[in-house]
Amino acid sequence: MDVDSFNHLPADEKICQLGLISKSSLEHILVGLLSIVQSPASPPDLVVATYRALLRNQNPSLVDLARKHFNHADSRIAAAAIEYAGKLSPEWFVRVSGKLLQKRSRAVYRAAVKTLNRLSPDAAISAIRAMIASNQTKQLGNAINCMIFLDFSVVREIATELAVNTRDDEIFGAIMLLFQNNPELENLKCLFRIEKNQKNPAWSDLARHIRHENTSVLNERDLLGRTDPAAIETNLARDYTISQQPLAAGTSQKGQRTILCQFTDLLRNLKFLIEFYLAENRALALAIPLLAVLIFFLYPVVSEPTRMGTAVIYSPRAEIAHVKECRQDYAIIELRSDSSRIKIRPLSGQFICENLANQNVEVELVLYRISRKGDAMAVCTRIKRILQS
Amino acid sequence: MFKIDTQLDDKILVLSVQGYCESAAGKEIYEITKKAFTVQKLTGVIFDFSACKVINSSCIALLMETAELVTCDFRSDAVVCGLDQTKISFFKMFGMLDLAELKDDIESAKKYLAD
Repeated sequence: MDVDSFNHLPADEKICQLGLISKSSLEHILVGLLSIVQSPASPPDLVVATYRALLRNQNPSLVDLARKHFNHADSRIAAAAIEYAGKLSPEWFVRVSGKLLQKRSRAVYRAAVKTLNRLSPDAAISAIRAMIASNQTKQLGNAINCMIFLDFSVVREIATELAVNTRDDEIFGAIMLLFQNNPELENLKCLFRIEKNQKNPAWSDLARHIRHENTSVLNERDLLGRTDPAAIETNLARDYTISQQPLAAGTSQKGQRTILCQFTDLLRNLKFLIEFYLAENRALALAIPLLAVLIFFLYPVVSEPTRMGTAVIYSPRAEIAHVKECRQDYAIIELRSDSSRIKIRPLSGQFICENLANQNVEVELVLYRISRKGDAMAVCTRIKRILQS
Repeated sequence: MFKIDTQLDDKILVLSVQGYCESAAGKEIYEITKKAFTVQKLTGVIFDFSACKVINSSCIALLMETAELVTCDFRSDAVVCGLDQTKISFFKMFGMLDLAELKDDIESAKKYLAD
């Protein structure tokens, strides 16, 4: 088809042609596509179909124009432009992804997370963690909504933490739906933990019900091996009891993730992180040199997995610390490993100050922000008082 | 662990999915749908899940891609049917039902597309 005949088709016909168009035919009508994308009078469906056809055929010709549409008032156009330009111009996408994830439109942030996941699943996970760290119900909902684009095995732990800490009915229900519809063996332990950590008996019952449902589906699919479902129940209870026993101060619990951050993790996420923090803090002049200085000085520490300093990390890390100050919405802890101080806030809910003040704790945290003063701030995904033996 | 029966009835493609739908099933649904539209313009596609035990997240993500393909690229209609209450909630949560119409069974889905 030549460009003239394409231009004379009605909008609906053009969309149908674009749905089936081949790479070589697309080249012939590029001028026509350019005018569709440029004209404010073009029907939104046609602009969306144009970007989708260009993406499907991996044609980068209109990427520059698509970049200008990422903020389009019509969220469908914005989402299609993001997916197209994001896939074919990853550098640009990484630069704007922080802004995109703060958008109100579901179509836009979903397109952003979907694209991010195509570029780097680690970055998509980081984005989801950042949404959770905001601790706003709307953003928590967005985070859960984006989990669909990632394999459930990689979001299971985040979903568990959120279910344990949330007090919001809808958020808890949404997480339970995720577990219910993704029956996997590894869910059982997480659901048991959720069940045991719930003060609300109805939520606890729901978690148990879904765990039993998961067990029965796994059993039906022969994925439990030779293990009898009753024995699974006993094993879960035993493992949970062991995991709740107090630790000797300064030691790490067997089987628990200890120091997770390697320098390679840092590098892999760095570019995304810089962009995300910049978009969030708008502290362009400060943040880049600050991160550079941190990396320069901390490389020898961070690259040595047995000794961790206060580093820019985006993977959860387990630490033993002393609580210096505790408020309901934040606490200041001093890490036992290097005496550095970090301001932490709960993933959701509040700290119970009387339980934590001046106590030694085992804490799992995700560093999420460097403040303007350069202080480390982290979200606490799990905190447990260490009982003195 | 899954089976997809395909039926083409008066320009309506019916995909009846059985068993446990994970990403492999989602991919197959996408490919069958795409192929059907390259052969001829269809009135619509019906995804029947009445014999489906589980539809997991990865499968939903691919179903959404498929529904987008049908509605955005081929200007046709997508209908899902045979969902129980849990699956309806799960589909709603991720916006799948913004892209596809929900009906009880194949008959009402066909009636909807014919109208």
